[in-house]
Amino acid sequence: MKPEHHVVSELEQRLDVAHHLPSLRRIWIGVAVAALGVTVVWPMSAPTRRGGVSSGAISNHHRLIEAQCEQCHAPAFGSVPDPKCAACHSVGQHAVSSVAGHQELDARCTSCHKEHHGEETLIPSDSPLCTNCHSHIDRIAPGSLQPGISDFEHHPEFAVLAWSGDPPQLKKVRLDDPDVRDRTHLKFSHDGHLSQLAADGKPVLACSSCHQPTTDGNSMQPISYARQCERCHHIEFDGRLEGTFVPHGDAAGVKGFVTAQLAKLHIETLHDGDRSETRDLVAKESLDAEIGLFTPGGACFKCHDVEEVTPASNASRFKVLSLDRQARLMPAAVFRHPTHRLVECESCHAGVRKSTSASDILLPRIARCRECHADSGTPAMVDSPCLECHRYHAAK
Amino acid sequence: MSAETFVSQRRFLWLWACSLALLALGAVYLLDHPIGSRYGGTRLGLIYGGISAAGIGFLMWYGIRKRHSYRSGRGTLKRWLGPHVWIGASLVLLVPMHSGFHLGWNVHAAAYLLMLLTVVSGIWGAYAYLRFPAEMTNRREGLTTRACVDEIDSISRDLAVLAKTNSAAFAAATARLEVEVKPSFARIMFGRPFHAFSKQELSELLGTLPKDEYQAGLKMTELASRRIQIANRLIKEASIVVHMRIWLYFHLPLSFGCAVAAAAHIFWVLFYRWPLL
Repeated sequence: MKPEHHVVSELEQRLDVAHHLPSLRRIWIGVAVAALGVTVVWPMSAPTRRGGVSSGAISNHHRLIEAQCEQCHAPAFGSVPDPKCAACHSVGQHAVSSVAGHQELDARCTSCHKEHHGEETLIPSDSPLCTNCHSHIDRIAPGSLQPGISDFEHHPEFAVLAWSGDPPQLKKVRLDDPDVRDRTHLKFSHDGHLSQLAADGKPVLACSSCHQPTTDGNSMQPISYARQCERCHHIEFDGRLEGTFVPHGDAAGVKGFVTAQLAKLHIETLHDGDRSETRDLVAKESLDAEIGLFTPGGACFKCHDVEEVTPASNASRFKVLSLDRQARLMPAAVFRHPTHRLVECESCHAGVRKSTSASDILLPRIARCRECHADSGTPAMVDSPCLECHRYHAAK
Repeated sequence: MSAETFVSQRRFLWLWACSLALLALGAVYLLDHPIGSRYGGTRLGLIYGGISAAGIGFLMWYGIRKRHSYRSGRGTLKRWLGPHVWIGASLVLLVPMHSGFHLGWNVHAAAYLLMLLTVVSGIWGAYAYLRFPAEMTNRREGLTTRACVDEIDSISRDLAVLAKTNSAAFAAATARLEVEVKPSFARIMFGRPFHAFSKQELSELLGTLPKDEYQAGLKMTELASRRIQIANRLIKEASIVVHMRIWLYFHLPLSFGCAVAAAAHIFWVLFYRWPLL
């Protein structure tokens, strides 16, 4: 029961904390108003005062327009619409297979390019850029032939552009396909070359004797007869013409060269004889030389597949088949040899010493890569996001 | 076994519930790999932001309930204090998960900072509520504040009469023992007692009195000591009461500051980010 009239003495008042402080209501209203002023009213008052409401650091690319929010943002309550990006950036064919080609995904520039995170994410390079769609690509793009890939650990075996099936077809084949092989009309044995020993018992050839890096260092220059083979393999065709070597070229060129060299030989020894006799002799000997070169045991046949054809008059009876090799077995992959220079070639290209055919595929399997490479965050392993080896599909 | 408190109610039901929820949300957070990095604007970031905003709403609603509808609705206020405490503590971790643990010198981080300060002041309050009521009960000695204040007034009157009816030396001695019982905020806040005179100080004081006033002097020192003793007990008790209330002077304004800053944060991110996904 309340006393009817309770006079509170000064001491009683002083013992109450409320006596010494402003009223609680006044304090919280003051704080709330101050907070509203600092966090909304002040930044609202001028665009130049909006630094504190920016959600994070602007990337270096957009630093010049940092204070002009509306350069990128649509008017109030607007995110960054694609036309705002297109005002400065050429986006015509960009991301054709994911954005332009798939309207149903409703992807926008900002779906991948995130600003206000400093330098980190404007041009993303981490795996989610790819795996956000590719981990369930079958649902995003029904009918896609791409396998679902969520990370490097679950990446399928490498695929190469090679020949497989019966009859063989050029197609994307995985390296674990027992049938996979390259197809070429070149005869070449890595084993035969690497096992050559000099008189002192040391190998004559190493990988680098033939395989030289391209100027960017990333891949290897194509092998050419002039650069790699000619040092050891001279094309001789007649014991009487020591030091005369057939220039590397097509069969018609070979025939022309051989005929010219034999004619020269016989003209030098021709004094009073019958010219037609000499002509017949040259023709016969050049045909013999041609057959010698292009049939088993001959210098051309040693490396090339050769086809016998019905010649037009004066043309060669033989046709050297085009090597018909893929320039690159993995045309979309990025591999940097220089960053791997500390490991021996054969630690990755393991089968070379058993390889006797140029159709053998000597690329390492993914298991070899996984000895050093793993998904980001795996201790003591090299971070390997998708873009480490792949190029973004539209950026060709 | 100690009694169930608002913190431990239903065998720490709310601690368990909030911990489990945080663990689940943390696991989902770690499994989520958005393009770029984790931040407040990703799909999961927005979901966690929504949960956090709802959490702040719930915590603020407790304050409204406490002031305007103490017993309305379901359950007692104490029942609602359990989730208030543990959900508030959970936000300390949930909000950084919302932002992908990004913090900067901006409005957005300010909202979080205010929230942290609010939670810290709330923990202070919870500690005060758990610790001090027991101490107060132990100290009561059956006397109300009112009775103590009345006794101090009565002693002061008696001392004034004694001083008036005795010699000037007696009046001077009484003045020496005078304390103006007007405790400052600092004295109450930190529980600083008035100086209690020792026996030696009192006997030295009695020595200054004429012989015939010795008996009256004894009574005077006894009364003065009693007054200081009661005043100090009041201060001690008031300081405990202050400890139970002062945190609210931080908690409540900070919570409003936090709510406004959080609303400003939501306003600014939506202002420049619409549609959301």
